[in-house]
Amino acid sequence: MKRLLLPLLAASMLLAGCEEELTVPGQCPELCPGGQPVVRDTIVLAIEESDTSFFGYTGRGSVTSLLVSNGLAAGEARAWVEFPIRPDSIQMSDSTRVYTTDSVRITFSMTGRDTTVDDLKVYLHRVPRTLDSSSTFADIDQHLVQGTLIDSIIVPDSVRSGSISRLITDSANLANLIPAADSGRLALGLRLVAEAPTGVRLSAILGSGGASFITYARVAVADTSRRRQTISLSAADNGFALQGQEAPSDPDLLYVGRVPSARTILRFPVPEFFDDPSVVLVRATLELTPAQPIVGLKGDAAVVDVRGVSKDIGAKSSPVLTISGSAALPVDSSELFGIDVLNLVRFWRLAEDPLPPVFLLAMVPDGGSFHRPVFRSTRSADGKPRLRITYLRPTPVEQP
Amino acid sequence: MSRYSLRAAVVLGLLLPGGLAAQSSVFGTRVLGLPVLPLSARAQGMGGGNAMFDPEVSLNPAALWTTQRTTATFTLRHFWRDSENAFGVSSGNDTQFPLVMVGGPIGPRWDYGVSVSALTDRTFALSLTDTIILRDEPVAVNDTLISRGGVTDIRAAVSYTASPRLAFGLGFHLLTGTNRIQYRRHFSDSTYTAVALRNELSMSGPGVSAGFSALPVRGVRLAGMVRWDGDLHYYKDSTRLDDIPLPITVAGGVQIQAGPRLLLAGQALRRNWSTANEFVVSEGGIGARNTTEGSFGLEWIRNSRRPSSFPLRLGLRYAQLPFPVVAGQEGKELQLSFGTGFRFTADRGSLDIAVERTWREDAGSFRERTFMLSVGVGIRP
Repeated sequence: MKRLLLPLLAASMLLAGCEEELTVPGQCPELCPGGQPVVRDTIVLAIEESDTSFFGYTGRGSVTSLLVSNGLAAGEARAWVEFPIRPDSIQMSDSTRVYTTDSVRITFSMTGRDTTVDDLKVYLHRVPRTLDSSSTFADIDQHLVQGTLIDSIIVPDSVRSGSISRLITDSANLANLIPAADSGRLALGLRLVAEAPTGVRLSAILGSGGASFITYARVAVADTSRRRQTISLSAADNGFALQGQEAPSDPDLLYVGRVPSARTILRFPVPEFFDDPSVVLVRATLELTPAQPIVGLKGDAAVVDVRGVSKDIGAKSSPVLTISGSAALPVDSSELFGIDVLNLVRFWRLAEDPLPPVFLLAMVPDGGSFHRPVFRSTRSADGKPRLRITYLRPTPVEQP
Repeated sequence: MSRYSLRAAVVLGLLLPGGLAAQSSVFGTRVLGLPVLPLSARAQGMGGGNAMFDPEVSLNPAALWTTQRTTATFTLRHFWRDSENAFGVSSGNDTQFPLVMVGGPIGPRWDYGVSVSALTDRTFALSLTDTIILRDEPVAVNDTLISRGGVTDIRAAVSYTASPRLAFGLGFHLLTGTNRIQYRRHFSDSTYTAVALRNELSMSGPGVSAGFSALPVRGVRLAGMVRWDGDLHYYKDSTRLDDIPLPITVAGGVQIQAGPRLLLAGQALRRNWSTANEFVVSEGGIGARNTTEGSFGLEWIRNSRRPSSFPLRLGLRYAQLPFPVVAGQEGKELQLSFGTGFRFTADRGSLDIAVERTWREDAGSFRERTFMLSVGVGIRP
C-alpha cells in the first residue's frame, strides 16, 4: 500500500499542475452572457472655422533636403552648395607646403528618388558665391549653362539612397574648379538630367549630412610616405529653389510642408460617448480630402505627421513629442487621405490632464520635399476634415 | 479542535489555490454557472449516494456525528472534457479543488466541521469567430471570452448526538466568491486595435443548514437536511448590483447495510432555483429552473477484517441543471462513477480515488462528455 501512496500523490500533484485547456467553441449571442459586444463607427467633423494653416516654421535657410529635378510635375528645382575656403597650402610639421591637386571628389548623400526612372545624372556647375537662401529658381538656373559645367555624377539605377559622388581628375577641370575671384571657395549649382521627368532629394547640411569636397593633393617633400595628402571640406551653406512656387495664400485651404514650411491646426469636439468609461476605442482615423491631386516624387517617402498639443494656444502650441500618428502621402492622388490617430485620441479621454482635442499637422521631411499636399478645410463646401472613430461597447458581463 | 487539526487546516488552506472551483463547461456560462456537489472522493466513488451520511461531505451537518477522530481532508479533481455543439467540437482539461474540510469530535455528544467547498462553478472559455462590416469592409473578428471562478461555500457546522440512534446538525454558511471575466477581441485587419477587457464580479451572502441523521433500525440509516441561502449580494468591480435570490435546498437519503460487506446508499436533492428566475429574466438572462437530482451508490468491502482496504465503490447520479444555456432547453447530467481507497499508518492517513464519466447535454445541440479523476487525501493526527 505504501508503495502505491507516493505514486498516487505524485500523480495528484501532477494533475494539479497540469496546464489547463478551457476553451470550447461557441457563438454569440447563444453562449455569451450579455450578448455580443457592439462595434460602432462614427464620424466627427472638425469644429467649423477652427482649422488654420500657419507658415514659416522651417525657413529657406534651414532646409533639411536639397531638391533637384528635371521637368518634374511636382516642381522644377535647382540647388546650390558652397564649401568653405580650401587652403592653398598644407601645414606639415614645422613648415607650410604648397601642394598640387591630383584629383577631387565631390559627394552628396541622396535620400530619395524615383527608382522607376533611370539614367539619372546630377550636373555640377560652377556658380558664383552670391547665391543664398533668398535666391530664386531663376537666380540659380541662369548659371547652369554649358560654360559653367564642371562634371556630372551618375546615379546608379540600382541605388535608392546613399552616397553618390564624382572623382574629378581632368587637369583642365581641376585648374578651373575654383576661380581666383572666389577666394578659394567652391560653389556648385546642381541640376538633373534623366530619361524622363523626375527628381532627387539630397541631404542638406541640416539633414542627415551635407555635401563633401575632398581634395587629393601631392606635396613635394623627401618623405614619400607624406607626399600624398587630403583636404576634406564639408558644405558650409546650401539651398534650393522651386520654379514658380509662390507662397500659398488661400485661407480656405489647409497646407503642410513646403518651404517656408506650413503646419495646420485642427480642432474637434469631444464625442459624447467618450464620457462612457466602458467604451473601448479600436480605431480613430483623421480623414482629409485633397483639394487637388497630391503632387510629389514617386518613391520618395513623405508623411503627414499628426501630434497632439499640451495646450492649445494656436500657432505656437507646443506639440506633444511622445505620441503621434502618421501616414505616407500618395502621389497624384485625390482620394481621401487617412491617418490613424488612435494613440492621440485616447489621450482626450484621460481622467486627469487630458490632451485638448487638437491636432497639429506637419510634414516629414519638414523643409525639403517635392510633396506639397493641400487639403480642404471646414470652410470648403464638402470634403471637410473629419475624424472617424470606431469603438466597441462591451456587453454587460454581469448579465446573468 | 486539537492543535494538530488546526495545523492541518492551515496547511490545507495554504495548499488551496486562489479559487476552489474550476470545471470548465459550456453549461456553466449562465448566471452562477454549474452547480457543484461538494463530494469527497469516497462519496464521489459512490456517485454521491452516501453524501448525506459522509462526515467528509459538507452537505448535511448532522453527518458529522459519525466523525470518530479529528480529520482533515482535501479533494482534488481533474477533468478531461470533450465538448460538442453546433459551432464545433473541442477537447480540454482542467482541475478543480471542490472540497477542503476539517472536522472531529469536541466532546462526547458534539462534533464540529469547518469546510470550504465549491457551490457553483462559472469557469469557461469560449472561442468565437464572426465577420462584421466596418467602414464598408468585412472584417473578421476572433473573440475569446474567459470566465474563472464561482461561488464558494464556507461552512462552520456542529452536530449533536441526541442518542446513539439520532443526531442533529446545524451549519452556518458564508457564501463568497469571485468571477473574473476576461474578454479579448482580435480583428483580422490590424489597423483595428485588439481589445482586452477585464471585469471582476464578486459575491457574498449568508446561509444556514440544518439536518438530522438517524438509525431507526439496525443496518438502516436515514438522513435529511434543509438549507436556506439568503440573497447573494453581487458586485461588479466595486459597484453593487442587484442581489440574486438563492434557492432552498432540501435533501434526503437512506443508507442500508445490506450485508457484512455491502453498503447501499441513495439520496435525492431538490433546489428551487426558479426563485431566481424572475431576476434572471429581468436582467436579460434566459432563466432559472428548479432542479432535482438523485444518486445511488454501493460500497463492497473486499476484506472484512480491513474494511478500509481497497473497497469497491460504484455510483450513479442524475441531475438537472438550473441555468439553461439557450432559451427553451433544459440541461441535465448523468454520471457513472467507480472508486476505491485505503487507509495507512494506523488509519491516520487515507487516500480515496474515484473515476467518473459524465454525460451532460440539453435537448438541443450542446453536449459534453467528461472523464474525471478525483483524489481525496485525509489526515487524522
